[in-house]
Amino acid sequence: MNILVCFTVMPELELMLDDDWVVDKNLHIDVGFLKQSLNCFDESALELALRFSEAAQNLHLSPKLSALTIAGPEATAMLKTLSALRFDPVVRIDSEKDLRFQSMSIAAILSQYVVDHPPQDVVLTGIQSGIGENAKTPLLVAEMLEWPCITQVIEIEPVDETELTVTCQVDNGLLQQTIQAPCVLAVGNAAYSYLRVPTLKDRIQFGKKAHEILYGGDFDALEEGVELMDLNLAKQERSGTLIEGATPKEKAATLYASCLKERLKKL
Amino acid sequence: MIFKLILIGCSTDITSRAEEINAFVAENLGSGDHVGSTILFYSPEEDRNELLRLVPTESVKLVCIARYQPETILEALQTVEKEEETDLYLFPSGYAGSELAVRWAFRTKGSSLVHVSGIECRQNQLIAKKKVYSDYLFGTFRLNKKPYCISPVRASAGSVPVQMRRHVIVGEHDLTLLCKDQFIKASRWSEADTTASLEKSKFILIGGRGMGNEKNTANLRELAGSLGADFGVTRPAAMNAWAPMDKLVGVSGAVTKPEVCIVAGASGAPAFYAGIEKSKYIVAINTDSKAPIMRSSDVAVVDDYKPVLDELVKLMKA
Amino acid sequence: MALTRQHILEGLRKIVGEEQVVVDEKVLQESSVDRFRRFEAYHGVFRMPLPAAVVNVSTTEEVAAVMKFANENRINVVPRTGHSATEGGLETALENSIVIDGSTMNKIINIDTYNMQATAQCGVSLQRLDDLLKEQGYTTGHSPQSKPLAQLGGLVATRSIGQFSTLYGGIEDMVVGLEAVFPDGGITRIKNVPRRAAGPDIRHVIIGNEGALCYITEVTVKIFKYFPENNRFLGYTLDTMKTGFEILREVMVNGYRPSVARLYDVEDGAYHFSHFAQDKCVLIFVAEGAKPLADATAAAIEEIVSRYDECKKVDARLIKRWFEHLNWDPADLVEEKREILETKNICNTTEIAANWSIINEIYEVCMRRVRNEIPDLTLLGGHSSHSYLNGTNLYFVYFYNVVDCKPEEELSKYHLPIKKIIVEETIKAGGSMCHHHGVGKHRTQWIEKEYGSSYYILKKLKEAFDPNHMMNMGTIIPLED
Repeated sequence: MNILVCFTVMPELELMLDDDWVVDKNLHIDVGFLKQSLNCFDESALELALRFSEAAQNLHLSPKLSALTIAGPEATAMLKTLSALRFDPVVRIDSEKDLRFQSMSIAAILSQYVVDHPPQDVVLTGIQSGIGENAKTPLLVAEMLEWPCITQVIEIEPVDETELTVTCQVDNGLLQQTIQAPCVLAVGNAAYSYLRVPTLKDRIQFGKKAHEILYGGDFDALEEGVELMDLNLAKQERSGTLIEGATPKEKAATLYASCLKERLKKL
Repeated sequence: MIFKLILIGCSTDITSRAEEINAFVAENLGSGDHVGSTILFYSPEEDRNELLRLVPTESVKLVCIARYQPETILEALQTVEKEEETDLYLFPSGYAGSELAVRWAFRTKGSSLVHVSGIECRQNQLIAKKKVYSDYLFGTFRLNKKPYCISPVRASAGSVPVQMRRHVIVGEHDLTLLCKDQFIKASRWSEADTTASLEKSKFILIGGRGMGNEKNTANLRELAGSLGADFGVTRPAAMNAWAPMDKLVGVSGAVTKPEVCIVAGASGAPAFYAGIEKSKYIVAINTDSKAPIMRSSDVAVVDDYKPVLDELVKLMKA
Repeated sequence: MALTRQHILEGLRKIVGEEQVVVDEKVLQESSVDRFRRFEAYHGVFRMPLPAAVVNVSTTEEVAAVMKFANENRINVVPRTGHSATEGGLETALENSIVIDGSTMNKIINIDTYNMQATAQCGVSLQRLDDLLKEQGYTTGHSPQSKPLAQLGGLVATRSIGQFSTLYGGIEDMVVGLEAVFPDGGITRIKNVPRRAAGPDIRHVIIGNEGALCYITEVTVKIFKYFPENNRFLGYTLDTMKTGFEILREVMVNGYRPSVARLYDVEDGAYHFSHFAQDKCVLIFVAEGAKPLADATAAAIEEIVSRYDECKKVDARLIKRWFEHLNWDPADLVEEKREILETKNICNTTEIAANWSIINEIYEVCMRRVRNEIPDLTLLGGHSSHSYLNGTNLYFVYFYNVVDCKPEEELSKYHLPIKKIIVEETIKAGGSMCHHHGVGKHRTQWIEKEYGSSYYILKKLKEAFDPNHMMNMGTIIPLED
């Protein structure tokens, strides 16, 4: 079984201060000075793939794991880590285009890669990125490839060379399905949030292997149908408004009437 | 604008989805020239009349399918919507709705946006707002390919119960034999884990060092019960064994995201605040006006927590 | 005859009241260890003898009464405030110890901006004190990474040092006067004077005693004027640690005092600065203070660095961003436990200090030996973060996967062998095995080598102040002694 994990690297936005959120006239925000790390759902997807592979080997199956990202050179450190963890091949599709809200284009690039590099049995990726939050890419890849798609995946287990068991969250519970590949799986709130760490020895032995770089320019952009018009800060400071009153009872009355009554009703 | 609501039976939370979409429609499509109808999917085991009660529009199309399965629903939509001219499809919030919206837009060559907090209909475009950049920012988007396929973010507009009304059934389809799930060899559904934990709590009252001793902690816990809130404590209280460790909120305990959080007698040290910072609304009660929690709450009361909360209980019961 | 646990509890309850004597099992487990044993603790393994109780004390008199009781009955006492220690100093090495927790003694007693002193009880958190001072335009200048958690008692007891020490000094340079309680129940106060030569400086019996001699109940520290608007940030990438040490030395011997002067090797640098340093060492400086001073310091550093071609300047904004996120974010500690349990990967450290002439040699031999002799390493690096006229420190950082071993075996398989290599090579070369974390309980086996003939003085102090062997036994001085 060939599993292709598609991932993205993003800046650590928790390190942004309020003053850093400056939107320029092209609706870009300079986040280049921030440390990069894996998008959390993609991180789960990578770790799930590794665990799947270990479980498969216990069943005398030999799945192959490969990793793919569409990014500039800032993803290099992560690609080396994935090589050290034995993803092979590890591919970067070079693109300097603004793909934040271009799910159709991203999906087109990914599905073209799948078509051009057979056989691929499972495309595994996180449900959404931390920047665009589009939550569309895996679904569009499935539509373009005409493959089935399962979202909110939290666990995958091997069955045999062509089948796997997929557990996912649905709106009212958990669904466990044994399915026939090929399929696209979008990972949600999996129990494993952290990618394992390769040893120094593995980094030296496998991490130095050159990863492939393909060029995004070779792919056609598709019409998105959705255009970004504006970006504004959503985060609000809490106001720390003091409740006035001469006695505790008065303060409680004001607190209840102005602040809590409606809110508690809604619960 | 001609819009269609998609409601999916075959699931136990259809009531809350219906109420949410009802509120969304009222808030975003209430005024103006909009004609809406509903497509209701249901499975044979369900009582369709019960489900009809949840339909917010007058006209409704009923589609019976074997069970909920995305590929099947998409195929069913393709069948029942073949000759239709629709500007906007509104899918339910939640996992199913957002998945279907995207895939339906692809199949109809429209455009989609999910987890939307609000929409505005204009001449030949739909303007929609949603959170982006890990929820730090609001993005405003223009959708320009019809049909627009939208799924709202959960409780974006709250929820409004569906009023009793007359329905006109404009179509009925039995697609129980439609099956696009041959790739599924076996399937098992289980109820979600409902063990109560502070992390899932919607209303928490947290007591801090200011409680002073085990007895006061027990009293505050009772008070929390009277308010209808879950009870948590900060580290000093747990380390002093005034309350069990599983009540601990903060770095070494539960990281919560309630709708309402009341913090009593705690200074709001960073180690604790990390456990409540995602709360929707924080009320702090402390005798020290300079305690850090006072600045990082939405409202603050400078006083002894006991009389304030005792009075709050009285007011709530009244 | 040793008291039974029951009698110990009765005695304690008579002194502080039932409410303040904590016997809950989970609390006792957490109170038997500190961050040194966090791998096994996160797995629910607690191997140290459980304390008889944790006692919350609210006044110096209570501390004195509890200490006297413990001393008379020869019960081991572990003094504690913030519980952020990393070297086992808070481990309860003996049966039925009493952990005396001073974190409720949290009054800020006085802030004197004329004499530039702040007085606070031992349970005051450094973050709270510093935030309060900053509102008024002052700072303690003390900024260890544990700042959000650490409290004054422990900070003084461990001879802690902060990230701005190159300007402000370590805690020993900041302490003015003190109050401490000794095992016999005696309360001693050392007054606040700028300097005196009235015999040896007895404050240094207390500063760094790690709870092995006395219990610190009140601290007065210097305060400094705070000019964050004048901060100047400088960062460079370079090729070798050797060059980096030379640059640090040039800055120090020419009399400049940036608050931050740090040199990261390639691996440690990659962990923090991969967004601007690929396969390079990193040098970071921050100059602060009154504007003429900050600007002159920054200009001088730029000139010194410019003499080395291999140094390339980094955008100051990147350094400023790093500077704003120096300390342990309490939210990260929530993540730490989960991450460790999921990945079985953990980070530990050993910090040493040495003169300029030997520091690079120590760095190279330790890195080579650890890399060759220790399995399952995932990161091995180091940085220098506290420089002096005559030398600097080295903070070795190592991450490893805990493979094929039970949680309780992690220390003996990985952390202790690594520490052994670093400590032995450092002492052999003539450096010090403990720069600022304290000896705790796990470097005690080398304490005689560390001191040589001066061990005599250390031992006498212990004999004099703790003749009944009940103050945090196993700390600094090995149990066997």
